[in-house]
Amino acid sequence: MRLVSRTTRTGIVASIDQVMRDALIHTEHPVDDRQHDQPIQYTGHTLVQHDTTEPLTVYGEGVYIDTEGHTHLAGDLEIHHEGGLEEEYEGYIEPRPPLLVSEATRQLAALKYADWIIHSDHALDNTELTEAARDRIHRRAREYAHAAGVTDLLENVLQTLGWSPRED
Amino acid sequence: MPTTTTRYELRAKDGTPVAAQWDLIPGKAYLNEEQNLTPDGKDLEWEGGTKMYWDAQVPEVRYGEAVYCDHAGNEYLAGDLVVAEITRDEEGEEKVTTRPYSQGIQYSFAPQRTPGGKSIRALDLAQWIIGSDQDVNQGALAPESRDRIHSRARAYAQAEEVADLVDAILGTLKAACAS
Repeated sequence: MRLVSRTTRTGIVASIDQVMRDALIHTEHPVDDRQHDQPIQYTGHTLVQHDTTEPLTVYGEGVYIDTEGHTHLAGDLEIHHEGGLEEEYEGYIEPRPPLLVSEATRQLAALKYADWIIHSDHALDNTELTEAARDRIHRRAREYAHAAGVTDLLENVLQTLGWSPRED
Repeated sequence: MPTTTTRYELRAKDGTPVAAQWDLIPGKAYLNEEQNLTPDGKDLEWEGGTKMYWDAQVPEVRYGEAVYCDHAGNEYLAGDLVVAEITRDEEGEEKVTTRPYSQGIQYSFAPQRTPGGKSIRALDLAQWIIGSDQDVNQGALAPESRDRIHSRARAYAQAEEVADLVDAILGTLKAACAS
């Protein structure tokens, strides 16, 4: 049983995470006063905050690397059994949001899901995404907007930006 | 011969010394080479090691400003920092003058050429405005910081030729919530 990319059939070898670190600033000489714009001077020491480790996500999906170093979204993975059977596998996907109440939170959610939709169209145009991946991202954006109670806001934003569904 | 010495400190506007900048570091969490799934196929089988890509570090950026912290871990945006110039004369008297710290702020982008690119940037700048409003309401941001972020969002929108789109998005959201 192997986890592979559905599009390229290459084996998945790693997921991409991101972690926060503190780049410590020099306490005696925090800025370089020899330069006009006085850039910050760092000590060179860092403190990695391991408890901040989280998956890197794009359109709410985790990002994985195959044997050739190419990246794949969580929704583009599948399981290959030795007998040739293929099975859906979903890697890390951002959790479905709860119903949102506060005005600002609702507006921010609508902006985020509008970005998923328009950005994934843009990425398809630039051949960075397949049509299947774009359609999946659009579906999830709408499902999540529905769960958050911001479907109307999302549609209004998309309409304002002149976005309309494509017939590819 | 009289001697005066000058030193500099990076501070928050309330005088708190700034200790560190927050960076984001990508890392590759490796899966088992032979069997990258657990036997039941439900979970990933991890190798146990993570390779950090230190050269790919980027500053944590919020509303286009790098994020810093003091020794207690309190966060500050780049625009909320000052450089304090502290001059001590031969009698030991110190004089402190401050000026805004001018680094750590993202520049505006070149105008996007495609409708999709313009829309994506307009959504981003609208998020600066609404998100910073929300942070003020939650006590996480000072009103003067919010005003600075709003001003820059509008200035960048103008420079990047998406001001009409940003206004339209904000107007739509406001009208929808009012109804």
